[in-house]
Amino acid sequence: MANFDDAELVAGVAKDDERAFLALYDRYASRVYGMTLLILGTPQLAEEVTQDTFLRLWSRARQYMAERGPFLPWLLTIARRIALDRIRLEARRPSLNDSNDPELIWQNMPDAETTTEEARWRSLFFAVQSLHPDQRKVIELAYYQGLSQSEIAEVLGLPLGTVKTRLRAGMEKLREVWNEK
Amino acid sequence: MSHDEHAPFIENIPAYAIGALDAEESTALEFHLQTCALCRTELAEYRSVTNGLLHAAPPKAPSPMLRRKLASRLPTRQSWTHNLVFGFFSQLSLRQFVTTALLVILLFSNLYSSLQIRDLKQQQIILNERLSNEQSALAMLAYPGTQALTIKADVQDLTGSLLVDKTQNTAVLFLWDLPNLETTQTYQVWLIDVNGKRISGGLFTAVATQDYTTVTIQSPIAMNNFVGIGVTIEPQGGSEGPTGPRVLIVNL
Repeated sequence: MANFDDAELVAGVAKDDERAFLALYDRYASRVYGMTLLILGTPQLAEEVTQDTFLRLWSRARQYMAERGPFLPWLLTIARRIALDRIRLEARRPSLNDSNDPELIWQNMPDAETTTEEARWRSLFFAVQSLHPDQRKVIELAYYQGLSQSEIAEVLGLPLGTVKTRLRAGMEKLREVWNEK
Repeated sequence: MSHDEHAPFIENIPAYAIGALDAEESTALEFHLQTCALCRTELAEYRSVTNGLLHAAPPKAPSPMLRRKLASRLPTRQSWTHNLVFGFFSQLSLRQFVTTALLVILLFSNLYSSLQIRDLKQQQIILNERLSNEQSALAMLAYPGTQALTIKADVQDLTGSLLVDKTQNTAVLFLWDLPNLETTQTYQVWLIDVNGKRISGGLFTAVATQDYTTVTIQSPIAMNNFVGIGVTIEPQGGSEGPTGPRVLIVNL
């Protein structure tokens, strides 16, 4: 199974092949769990959402169209939506903590030179971490908590104009980093 | 488009790309994007950033227990017919389920009643025919010239007699233990004249539910024009002349 590419494995899942399903899980569970943990903040909820994401892959593998894009973004988009739905369902608005040490976090990361894309993602992550905390907070609330600018203003008790300025400035910096590579 | 007209939209693109723009502003920007190539290019760049964010979260392995749990929770695959039937019923509330069940029972009950009515109608037709034959026989017995003639059977166990008044053009045949035929066959009566010529006297079948079969034979002319009456097995619908095996003959 290790020799099969993603599209072949997804086609196997669509035909109820459990080995193909578990091969995809082994390949991407850490990606899905890593992102859902960042969004939800607690391992228990992140594992529940990871499980829901892969169960959805099992039931909806037929909907994946390889010609429209790679598999991993498709899977991560599903995971992000499920995680944001979970937040809305539980009306949880956790404050994002800064306790994750980037060096510890990246211990499990593949070597930065493994692929160009992975190097870019790594740079982007560090770019987010290096933003001014005010800018980083609004971007994290928007992307990882699914809040609109008005909701962010309400949560942070800031004028809407301030939130807009911080978000725009933060995004412009991320764009610069993304385009450098 | 001037820079001033452009500015409010282009400023909102980063928030739109990350999904944080409020609904009203999103609608206005989407409308603007339809006609502004510059803003579409700008949006594409910010979208690549947000797509990158999707991957930017650091990977972390979940507990090994999750893999085992997931493998055990994979739904057992069922046949599509099973999914269709049980999937349908599982979507129903209790009230809908009861209503659907009652409708199904009512439907089957109606179907069963219709089949019973059809059988009863068929039995009624047979009984009417037999009643008519027996009334003919009774009427004939009232005539002083009516004779009861014994049949000569070519089939084992078949017995019977013919009531006939030779001055009339009607006769009634009573047959016991007449074998049932296949659905592609029928019994055919033949009136035989002195020259051996056969005229069809009608078609009939054995009545499986009754001990004997009664057949009324109608002739275009008086029975004294014939020397005998025979019965053969013919294809369904009858024949112009006898083609199948003879079943019986009665000499008049």
